Amino acid sequence: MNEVLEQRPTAPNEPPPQNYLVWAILATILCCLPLGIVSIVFAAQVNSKWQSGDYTGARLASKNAKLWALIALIAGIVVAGIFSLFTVFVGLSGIGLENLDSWN
Amino acid sequence: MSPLYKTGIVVAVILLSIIYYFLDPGELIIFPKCFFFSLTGWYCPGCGSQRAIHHLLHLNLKEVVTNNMLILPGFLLIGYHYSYQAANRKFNLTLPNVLYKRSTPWLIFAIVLGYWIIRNLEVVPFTYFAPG
Repeated sequence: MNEVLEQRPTAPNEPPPQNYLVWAILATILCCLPLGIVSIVFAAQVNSKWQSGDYTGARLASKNAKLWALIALIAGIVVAGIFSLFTVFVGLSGIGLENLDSWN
Repeated sequence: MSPLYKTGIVVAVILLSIIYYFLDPGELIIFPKCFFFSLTGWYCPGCGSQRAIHHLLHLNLKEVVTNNMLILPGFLLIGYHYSYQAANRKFNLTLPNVLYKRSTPWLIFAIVLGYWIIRNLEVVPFTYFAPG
């Protein structure tokens, strides 16, 4: 009995660690960097590892899912900020915003 | 999540909704262009989402789907995630915790990758998946 408890220090009844899938989805569909997809893969590992009894692995995957969702969202905000600053700068320097259309 | 975080997120969502309601990202150049698209010339699964949100706030669903097909199901799924427990309590239902099902993240992964590929194909039925 004790051995079983020692092998499984965490009660299977407790809720699984957060998989941060909401943030992974938001990062993937709102912002263009493919980093959100990395977070989706870690979210998948949280669910499957927890259900197969690998609680340590599930917790690690949860940490990674959070990390990559954060990286994706922060990178998205930084890139958006740089783009907006750049557009304002180009506008102020008189090159003309219409030139940016050629980026399409 | 702490109350401060929650308040911050709600305020940010309201502010962004106001901006995206009144300004059209399809017309104005000040909205950031997709980084991946600028770099590669290929559409990513998130391309068109700013225009889609603008049209979603105007309830113009046809334009939403034309610009990005993942926005609507994505928002519905997230809305479900934050309301199913309350619905279960109130109406005595047993709606499942979908996002924590084993296959859900893999299904989303497959849909995102599939959408990424087909919206870049320049063959007729697939060109409808490209934004715009």
